[in-house]
Amino acid sequence: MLTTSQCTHTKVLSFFNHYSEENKRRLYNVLTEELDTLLAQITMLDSTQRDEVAALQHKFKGICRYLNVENDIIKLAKNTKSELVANTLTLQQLLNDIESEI
Amino acid sequence: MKILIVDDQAFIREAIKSELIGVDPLQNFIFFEADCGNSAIVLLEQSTLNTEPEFDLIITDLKMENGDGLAIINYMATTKSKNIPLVIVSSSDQRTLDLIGNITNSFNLNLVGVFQKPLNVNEVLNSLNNNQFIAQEVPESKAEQANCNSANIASLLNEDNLFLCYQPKIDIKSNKLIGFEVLSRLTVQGDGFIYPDKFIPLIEQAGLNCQFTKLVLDQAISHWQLFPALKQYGLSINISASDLLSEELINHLIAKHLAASDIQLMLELTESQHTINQERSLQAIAKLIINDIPISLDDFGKSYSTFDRLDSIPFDEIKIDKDFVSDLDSNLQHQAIVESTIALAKKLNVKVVAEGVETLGVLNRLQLLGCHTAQGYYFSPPIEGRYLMTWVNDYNHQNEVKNANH
Repeated sequence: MLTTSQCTHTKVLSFFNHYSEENKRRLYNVLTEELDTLLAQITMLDSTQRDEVAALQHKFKGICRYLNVENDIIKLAKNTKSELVANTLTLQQLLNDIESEI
Repeated sequence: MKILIVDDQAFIREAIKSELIGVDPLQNFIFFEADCGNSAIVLLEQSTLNTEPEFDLIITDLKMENGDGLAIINYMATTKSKNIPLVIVSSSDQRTLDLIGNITNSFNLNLVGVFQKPLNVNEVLNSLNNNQFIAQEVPESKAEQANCNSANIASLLNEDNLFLCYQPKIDIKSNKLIGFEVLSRLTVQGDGFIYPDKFIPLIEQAGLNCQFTKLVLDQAISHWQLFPALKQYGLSINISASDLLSEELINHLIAKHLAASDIQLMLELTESQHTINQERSLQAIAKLIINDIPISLDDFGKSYSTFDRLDSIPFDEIKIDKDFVSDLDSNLQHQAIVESTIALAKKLNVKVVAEGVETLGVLNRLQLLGCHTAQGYYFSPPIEGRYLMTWVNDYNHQNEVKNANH
């Protein structure tokens, strides 16, 4: 039986493997850049800027939906800055882990 | 196939592009991208000016900074882009997506669908391949063919060109015919009908609304006087909130009513007009009510200020908009809205008319909810004046037979 993190790993990998070699590399690069930008935008926010945090959380949710990992990555729906930072870092780490397999 | 993808996330634009290419590798896709609604509108404007190619499909996200999906919908609704097949994608919940779908449909856009992320491009391409959503040249409307425009609307407004139809209002409990709503058409030398959605804005723009309402009122009352048997049925005429600002028209309405007091005249006031609560409008309504002309609140539920108006104006009747009624037996949200409207009307002692009744299922549901009156294609489409008496006789006869058999 796969652990939760293994399952998430498999899902993200299968998302990329669904595309041609050329496309999957491009998608991977675009996604890592997008997550870097997102993380930079989150860290610039104050935790009291709830609307702005929620807007970025919405973007992050959109990415997770495409990767089919929304329920794996987003455990709580509190829209807090700290949660969003943690979730983004988790996804970035996951992408790092699978880079060699793409 | 030229596709415009609008999303503020490059990854999602890339994913949609890759998915489309993967699903239909033989298709020659040409992608255009915009990262916000405003950039998309610029591309659409260029496309309209033919400096860029016309799109075969637009796929747009909803929530974006610098112009969201609704900005694109609003832009498309008023331009040549109206006919381009449109796909809306969002991470929002299903209720929000349903709402956006309803808004888009109300603008008569070529909506392929409103989808949750991730977009299922197979579904989209299947719909497109079924030829249901082909981008088309905007056809000239019937009104344009019949040459109705801001330059000639004034000369078109006369008795010869005005053509009235009447749609029956039925008492749900007894199934008895109780009245008619007057619906107007313009016709230029018998060359097809021009419908109100085309000519009313031109009339309003030209400031001819009072003249138009007078014409409708006079013609309908003449019709009722010509056939005395019709006098047992109510005669409902639409007026707009801007009509209320004309003292001359109000006096004309009252004079006509007093001169034909055996006709059960009712005025249906469109409630979506923002001027309705102005002091002068309220005074005009009061004057009409004092002179025993009952007022019906038309299109109930379409405006945010509906309840304010119920509070400030003693309406005799409210008409629930057809958008809430036509799918009442299958749409739980609409059922909740209609149910609470009827309950509210009961408490306020106001009669309720449901517009847009098209099926027996909807009629039965309305009866269960305690609605008084129904109007819609289930009973009859609007009837031309010359066939009205025949229709009335047929309907009453059928009703008598039905009652005799029970």
